[in-house]
Amino acid sequence: MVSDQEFREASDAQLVVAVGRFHQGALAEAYRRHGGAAFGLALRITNDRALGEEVVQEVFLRLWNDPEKFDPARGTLRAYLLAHTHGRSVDLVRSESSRRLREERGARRDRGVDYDLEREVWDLALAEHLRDALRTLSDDERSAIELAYFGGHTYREVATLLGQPEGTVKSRIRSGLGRLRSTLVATGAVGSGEPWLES
Amino acid sequence: MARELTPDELGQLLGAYALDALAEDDERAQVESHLGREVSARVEVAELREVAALLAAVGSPPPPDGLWERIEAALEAEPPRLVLPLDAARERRARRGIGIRVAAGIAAASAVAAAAAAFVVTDEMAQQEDRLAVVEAQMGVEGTRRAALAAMASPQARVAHLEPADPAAPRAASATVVTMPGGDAYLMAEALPDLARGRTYQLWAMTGDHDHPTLLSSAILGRRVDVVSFHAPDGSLGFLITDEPAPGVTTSVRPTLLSGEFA
Repeated sequence: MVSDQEFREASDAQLVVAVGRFHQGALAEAYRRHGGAAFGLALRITNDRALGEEVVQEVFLRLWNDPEKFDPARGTLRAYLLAHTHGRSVDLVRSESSRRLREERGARRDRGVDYDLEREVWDLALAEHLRDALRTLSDDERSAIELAYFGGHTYREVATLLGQPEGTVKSRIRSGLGRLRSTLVATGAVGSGEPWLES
Repeated sequence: MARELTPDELGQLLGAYALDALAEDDERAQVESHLGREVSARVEVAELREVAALLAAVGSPPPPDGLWERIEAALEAEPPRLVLPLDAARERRARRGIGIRVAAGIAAASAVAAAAAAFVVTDEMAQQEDRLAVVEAQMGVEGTRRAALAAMASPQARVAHLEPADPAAPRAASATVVTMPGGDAYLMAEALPDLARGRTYQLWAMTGDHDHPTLLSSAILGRRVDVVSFHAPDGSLGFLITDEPAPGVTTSVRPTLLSGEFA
């Protein structure tokens, strides 16, 4: 059997292969690497620890059950897991009942997340790059992205919240994310290659 | 259906699409069909999602205590062969219902229910069975093959040739295992026939006493084996391969298909 130490040293893609072989230790390692980010994102969107945990559980069970749905040619495991976390969290908060619940809680809203930017060296270096990259965005671009991504709002809702035209908001989301990416590529924080292949 | 959006307008929606921020199903459907046609749009969405994932990942808190234990418990409650689609919560509940009916059917020892249940399980297993092949093709079997060949060329490599255990076996199947100091190891199979659904090859390391070796499960190989990387335990004398029910067993009672010791 492969030891937990082996999994610690494995690449994300190797972990997914091992998950395909029903190695629970590989799933545990994927969770160790990305579970915190998934939970943090689900919690920010749902603002509800129980819902957040439910989402994370679903996301990792899905990786366990359908590892072949992750295609490394289309991006990193982190992006794959977080895209599912995001989609599922957004589905939950957009359902009527939970929206009401969420609005009721709005007044005493507490994100409840104490960010620890010094968790890991990787994080630290990347956080630095990300902070620099975020400075290249206008306040409007940053707000639009945050409300859409972390707030789980549609671009129409974002437009209402910011009192801006819808067309402006959707292009700000796109241009803002695009600029973040170019800045991060320029500093070497993310790869410039385009591994995404024609499928 | 609302009016058809122009390619430019669809392009403008890619950022919002990447963040699940499209409100209308119709808009989303149009963007998705645009993505189906345009590679560059797919690349852009993937890139924007990478960036968004970084925003979420950097400085994220550790997950809450006990969550992993709950996930682990759920793995045991739901065997891996059962499909759990995330996108369809309703379907998921339905499938859970199937799982319960399977258990109830077997518990009641009703032959009819058990047969129906076996069919359901077999059907679901069939969907899962190919995952090894698909996952590995995606993760780059070629990369593993190159690594295996590089290992084989190394002066530090130890090589074991695995031949049919039954000399009368008609098949020309064989396999080569290469191990490196530290335990990195590769198995390259030759003409190993695909197994039926519901079966998997399993690799065992022979350790301990030469005449009465202890077998340690070293890898679940899936029903199609080409090149596989695995960890060889310390003191391995050689390896053997058996054919087991998926997803593998802890102790084999099946005859050995291929075996061989280090040269």
